[in-house]
Amino acid sequence: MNKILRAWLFGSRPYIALHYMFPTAFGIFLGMNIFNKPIYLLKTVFLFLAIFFSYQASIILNDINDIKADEFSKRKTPLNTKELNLTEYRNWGIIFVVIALGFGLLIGYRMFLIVFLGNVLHFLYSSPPFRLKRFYPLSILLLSFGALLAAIAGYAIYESARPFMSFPLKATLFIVIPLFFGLNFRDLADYEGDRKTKIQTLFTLFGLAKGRIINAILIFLSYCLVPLILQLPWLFLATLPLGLTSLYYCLKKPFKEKPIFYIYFLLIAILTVLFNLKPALIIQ
Amino acid sequence: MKNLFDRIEREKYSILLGFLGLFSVIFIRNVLESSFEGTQTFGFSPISSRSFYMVFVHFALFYFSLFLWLLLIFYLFTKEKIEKIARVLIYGMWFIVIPPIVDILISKGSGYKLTYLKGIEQFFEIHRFFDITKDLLESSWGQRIEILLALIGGAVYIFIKTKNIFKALLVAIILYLTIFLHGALPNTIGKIPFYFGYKEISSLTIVTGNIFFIDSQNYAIIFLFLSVIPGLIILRKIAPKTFKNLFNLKNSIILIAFLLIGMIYGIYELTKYYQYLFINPLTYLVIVIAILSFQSLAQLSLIEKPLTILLLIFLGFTAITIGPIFAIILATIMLLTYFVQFKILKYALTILAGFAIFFQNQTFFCFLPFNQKSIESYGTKVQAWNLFLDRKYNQALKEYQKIFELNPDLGIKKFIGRCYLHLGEIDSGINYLKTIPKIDYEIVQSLGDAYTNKKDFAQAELVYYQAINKNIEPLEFLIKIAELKARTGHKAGLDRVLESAQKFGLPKFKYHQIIGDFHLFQQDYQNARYHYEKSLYYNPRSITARSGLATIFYYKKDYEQAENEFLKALKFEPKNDAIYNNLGAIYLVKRDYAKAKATFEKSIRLNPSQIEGYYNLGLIYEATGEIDEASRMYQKALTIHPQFSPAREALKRLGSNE
Repeated sequence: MNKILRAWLFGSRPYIALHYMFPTAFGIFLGMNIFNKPIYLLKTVFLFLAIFFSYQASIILNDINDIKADEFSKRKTPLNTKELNLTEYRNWGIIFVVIALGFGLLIGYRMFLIVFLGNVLHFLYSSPPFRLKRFYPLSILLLSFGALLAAIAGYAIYESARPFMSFPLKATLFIVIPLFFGLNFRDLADYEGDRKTKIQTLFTLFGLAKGRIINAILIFLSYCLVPLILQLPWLFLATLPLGLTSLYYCLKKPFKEKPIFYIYFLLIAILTVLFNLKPALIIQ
Repeated sequence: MKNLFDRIEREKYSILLGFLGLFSVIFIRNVLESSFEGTQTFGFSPISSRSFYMVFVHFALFYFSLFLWLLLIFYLFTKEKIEKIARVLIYGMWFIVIPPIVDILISKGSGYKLTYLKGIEQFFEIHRFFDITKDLLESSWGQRIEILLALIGGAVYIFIKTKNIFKALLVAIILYLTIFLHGALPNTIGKIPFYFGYKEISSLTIVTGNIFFIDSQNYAIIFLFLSVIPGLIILRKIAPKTFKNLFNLKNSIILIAFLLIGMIYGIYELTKYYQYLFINPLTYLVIVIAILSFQSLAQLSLIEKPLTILLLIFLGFTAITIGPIFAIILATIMLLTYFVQFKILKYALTILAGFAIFFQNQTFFCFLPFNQKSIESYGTKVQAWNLFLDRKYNQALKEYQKIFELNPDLGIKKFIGRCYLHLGEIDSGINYLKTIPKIDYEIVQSLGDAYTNKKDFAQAELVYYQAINKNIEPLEFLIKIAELKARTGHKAGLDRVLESAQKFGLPKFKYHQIIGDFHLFQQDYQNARYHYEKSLYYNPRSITARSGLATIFYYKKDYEQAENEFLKALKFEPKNDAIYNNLGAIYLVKRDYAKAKATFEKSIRLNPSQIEGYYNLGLIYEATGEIDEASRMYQKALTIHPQFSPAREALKRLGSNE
């Protein structure tokens, strides 16, 4: 268990896990506000646990399928540091999936289906036969859909009969579009591995130098898109500086992921205050 | 293209990953289809057991079967290595996610109701599939695009592999027929009893009258059986030794003998109560599949490693398809075989597995012969369910009452209540249903409809709101409330309900249809027509909007147009008895009695428990001077619904005339 915990703390994993929790919380917020319902504490806790364990399983799946790429990129994973052997690590992955599905089922059968879908998407993304992470920009689109699914899962606590059809369009755009533009930076650290294992990313397609510039522009664009989608021009006052700071950190050498996450979390904090003050901004 | 195929063929991954990849694509199709098509109910059904079988078993097996047949066809035409073809085909299976995405866009958010083909007889209508000028009931636009792309993809693959254009075209035709057969087979199998002259169960489809309570499970049996055939042929090609081992009876003869003992015991006990067991073709398929599963189980250790995965997948599907109890017993036997080697217990469990095929979740209560009460209760329940699905509600009610005396549980109360409702005894039905403390989807539906038929709209609304508060299909029941508000002309209430429904994603066509209904009941035909036309713009297959439009024409005495609209509606829902009644009413007004009579008779054939059809037939007989027949029809209507005043008045009228 200790080995697993240590392994989990490698790299930016806690941050990425948080990144999945935000859409879930956002979905719950939408559900509460649209249907005027209180927070269902037990279901909410179960859902966060389901999403958390699903995400842990997806990391394991990714590590197993990226052993070679991670070696090239010098990315530390429990496999290439020999903390755990392949069978042990895979078994942990299976246990996490079962736990995630179990928590889903505790909320309801339809939540089980949503959690199952999340795991299916992870599988399609990382593992053969499809290993969709090889195909750019499908890979990024899939990650954005993953975040959308986490939000829909939160929303489905309140409306599970037609969660995909009734989830507000504005909220869908708000999640998918900025993330689609902004998530490329995750591939920068894996550049060497991706290049040698023929995985298409923005950086392997355009080269490291050009890719970094395009990535910086795209991440800046993603911050600019938030006020446009929300139709709130004054929000540029917050998103422009945040976007520019992200752009700076994307271009800065050596590249570090963590500042970009911190800026992203800052935006989330601003939006959390904003949506709480005026829920209609995102519901209508 | 050739390079692409080569690259895919060279990819290396295990059989298990290939299977999981295929299953993932199928799962995504199921999620998209259930969310975007038809009633847009996530998971296909609000009832989780039904949804589970649809998502994880029935549709999964449908596509697996299709996959295996296509694999076999490609192999026969190319003689390429089966593993290589399978790798290409797994990518090709992504075509199946096309229909829900295309349909939701084309239908402007309404989705299409995807139906199975009526049966093999539709073979003579297959040319209609390619006539793109016409909307096709049996197939949505997305499905047509999906199938066309699959045919083109298949032909291109064969052409690249063989360089023979004729083979490519032939494969396209064979692929089309394979897909057609997969769509038509369930209903074709369902009709087999009819072809053998069992008239009394002529309405038997695969959904009705069999040993399972979940309709999807029946489809799953068919597709499981269908996948076994190419599966075995492929196995023989790729691993002849394994194939030979699989059918080596030495290991399995005792096991299968015990399984048969269990089955015979189950059949012996069940046929005392359930007379349709051997008439149903599914019974035979289940028996064959169960034997095959035990044969596979016995040979599992003899088969080389990568193929054991395939066999385990087959065993998993067989067990779940046949039933959860069968699955648990099979898994226990497997554990006993490989870890404990406790033979006597293994054989005893095998007998139990055979018995479980027929007694499902009541296996452990019914297995011991001295527990005749449980056996009788279960057998009668299966028989009653069969009668209920066959719309023989009087007989079903008697059977359910018998069971209730034996074992007064709440589940039976639900069926007794529903039988009463179908028989038109609304008060008795309501009394039974409302005493059930825990409401579920079916109870809400039945009670709501009953109160609506009684015109007690306030109570109907109350029931629907109870469901909404418990998060049981909130949109569906908000729509029902809105429709009631439209009928009663309560505009402010209607607006409020529609506003709530919109939060749950009320489709635009439904919104306009309900507003159209409101105006129709207010006799504001101009506005009603505007909204019905708007509803049809968003969903040209909306039967309710189409019927509403037809009703406007009827009230305006434009009978030609009204008839046209009802006929159009019937194209999309050919089994809607209410539309036949409305159509018959037009013929009646036009004094075309022969046509009207035929139409009402058709309506009654489709739903024998209705009152309107009998009453309308009575009117025709009265008009044509056949007083005895007219009186008989009014009586029939009153048998179903004793409080039906038009029939009472008609009988009085006939009496006074005499």
